[in-house]
Amino acid sequence: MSETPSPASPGERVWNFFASVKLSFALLLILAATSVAGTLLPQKEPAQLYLEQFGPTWGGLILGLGLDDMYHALWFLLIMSLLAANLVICSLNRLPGALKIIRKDPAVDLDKKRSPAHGFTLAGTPAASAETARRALAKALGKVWEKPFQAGGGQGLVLLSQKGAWSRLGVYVVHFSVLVIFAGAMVGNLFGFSGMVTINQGQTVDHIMQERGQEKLLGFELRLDKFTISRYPNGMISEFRSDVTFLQNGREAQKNSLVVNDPAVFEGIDFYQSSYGQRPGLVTVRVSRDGQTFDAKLEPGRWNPLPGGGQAGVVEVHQNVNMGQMYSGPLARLAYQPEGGEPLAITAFKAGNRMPQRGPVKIELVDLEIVPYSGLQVKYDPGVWLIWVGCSLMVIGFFIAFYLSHQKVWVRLEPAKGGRTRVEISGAANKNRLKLEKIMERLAGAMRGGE
Amino acid sequence: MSSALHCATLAAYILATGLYLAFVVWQRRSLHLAGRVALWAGFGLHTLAICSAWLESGALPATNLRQSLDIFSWGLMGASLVINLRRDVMILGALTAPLCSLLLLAASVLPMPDAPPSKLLSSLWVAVHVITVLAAYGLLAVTFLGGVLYLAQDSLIRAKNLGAAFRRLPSLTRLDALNHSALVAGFILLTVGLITGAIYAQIKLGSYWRWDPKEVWALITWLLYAALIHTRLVQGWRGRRGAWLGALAFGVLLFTFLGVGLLFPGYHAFDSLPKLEGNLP
Repeated sequence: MSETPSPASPGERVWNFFASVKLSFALLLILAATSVAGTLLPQKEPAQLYLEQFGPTWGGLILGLGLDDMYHALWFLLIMSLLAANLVICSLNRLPGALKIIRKDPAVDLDKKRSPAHGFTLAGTPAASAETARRALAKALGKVWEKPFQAGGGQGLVLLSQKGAWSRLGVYVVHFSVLVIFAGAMVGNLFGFSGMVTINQGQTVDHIMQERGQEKLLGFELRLDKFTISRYPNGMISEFRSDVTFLQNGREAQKNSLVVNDPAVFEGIDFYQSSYGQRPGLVTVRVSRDGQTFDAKLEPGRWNPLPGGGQAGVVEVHQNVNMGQMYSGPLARLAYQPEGGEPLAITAFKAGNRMPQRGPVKIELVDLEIVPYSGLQVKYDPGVWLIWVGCSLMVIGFFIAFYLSHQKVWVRLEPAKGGRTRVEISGAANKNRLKLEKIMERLAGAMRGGE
Repeated sequence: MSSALHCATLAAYILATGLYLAFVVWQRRSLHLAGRVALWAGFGLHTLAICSAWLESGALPATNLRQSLDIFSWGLMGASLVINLRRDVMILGALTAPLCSLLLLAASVLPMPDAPPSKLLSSLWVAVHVITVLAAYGLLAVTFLGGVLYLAQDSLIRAKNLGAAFRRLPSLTRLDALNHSALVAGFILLTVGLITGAIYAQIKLGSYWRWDPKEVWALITWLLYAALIHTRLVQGWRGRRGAWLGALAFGVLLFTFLGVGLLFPGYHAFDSLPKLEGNLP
């Protein structure tokens, strides 16, 4: 945090607040502490459950604070946004200073007097030692800058070499990577979706059900061609597989075999095999009304228009019911709506039953199909690539920030009495001083070795 | 094969414990060197034991509490040995040798997994995820141990009690250097572990982050260590305050590792790991 002696304006105070590392520290701890709640309370359950389990007061509080889905609650996202703002402003506050140091011309202040880590005298003039110093510095750190100066009636020389100035950017790479990951999560939340779809064998679907029960059109169609269960010899299921075809504008575009943990991708949308079962397929009925009799095939889950007007739907089916003398066999509860009339509930039995029949229409069950279905999880997340970019940047940034450092070493050669040279080695490092000390030690050794 | 190696590892760690205790009492460098040899030998056997169990079951043996403790002690021992190549805090072995012996003993009496590992766990992604996370735990445990030594030495110095205990403990600077390098390496490995887990979850389970209790607690641990690193680097909380915050973070880490694995439901729970199936709701 930068402390300014003059009273800060409100704007500056807000800026300084957001630029402070204390704020980051507090936000990291607050995020950590609040995250605990979501692991103790059940998440994303129906509201009723919280009221029953925790009573009206606590249950109400949980729902009011959004703790039933806390990682998506507004206040939790607000803490995250504060952390993001803190990251941005803190980095903006410090980046110019870092860039100034990185871009600083090494020749400036070169001959400034520094307190040496090593000091000794060598025989010969500074010019004689200069070549050894030059070579040793170049070997340790790279490019060497020099500046002659006048002292003690002779000419001295300062040499400087530095390495890793750009490593000061490592911390900004890390902070930027966190923002990239946040961005990835946001893109996923705003533009992605996830849901379920169950398809009967042979059926084609064009939409899925999202988490909160909304329908979502896919923009293409998906057909379940075949569903297979393979078993081990002992009868345990080894695998269930859905052979599916993706259809674009009614034309087959892609075929896949889906098994658990081996998803298919079409148009960037992932389809995961998730569940399976059996359920009614087409229900064939014989309708008699107004002196006419015709057969109709009813698809479950929707109104089916009937020839000659009106519509019918399947409410539920039973493969086998036993009503003793009266009836034994399959049964379908149907909804029937004559054209322009109110819907009626009708129970349809197989022909030859002894059940009483009333009303203007008679519907008999001809055939009841039971088909396997497959449940698929559907997921679209256009932000995932940002997450991976962010993660990679973070790891790279860590290595730069933690393991590389900006090391500077000066060698000052000053004329001393008796035609000798006073050598002073000094250094500076933004971190890893241990390494700096080793470099300076080696340098001192190399200079003395020439004696 | 793996159980014989497990016993041999335990024997080597217990031998090293004896050698290090003798070193603490008599302060002979030869005892420390012998202890170090025993620890390296034990660590080699430990690695072989894990590899052979891996080959036997087809998945990295980290699918229940017993195996996780085993790998954690491997991570702790490896971390302390490797870090000590540079830092040479001799007394560290006197802490890690008995600790890893106890962890291995505990692992020996716990039951083996009751089911063969699911196919999902045999992936190399899982192996990398588990090894990096548990090695990170090991490194962060080293930071914690170093922090405890730091606090002990610091209180001795404050009390001007410069006796036998003071002479046996390393200097504060050296301990701080140990803590720092273990902290940084542990934090990076923890990050890599979380990322590899996220990648595998995205491939097989359909999303990189599911807010599973283990994930959330791992994130909490990560946030605390991130805060710790910030205080050290920016606010200069080396020393005592840093050591206390480090102890808190390590407490949370232990809870993430053991508490969440034992108490919370979810696919990371120790008793549901072997049966991990895909496409969790």
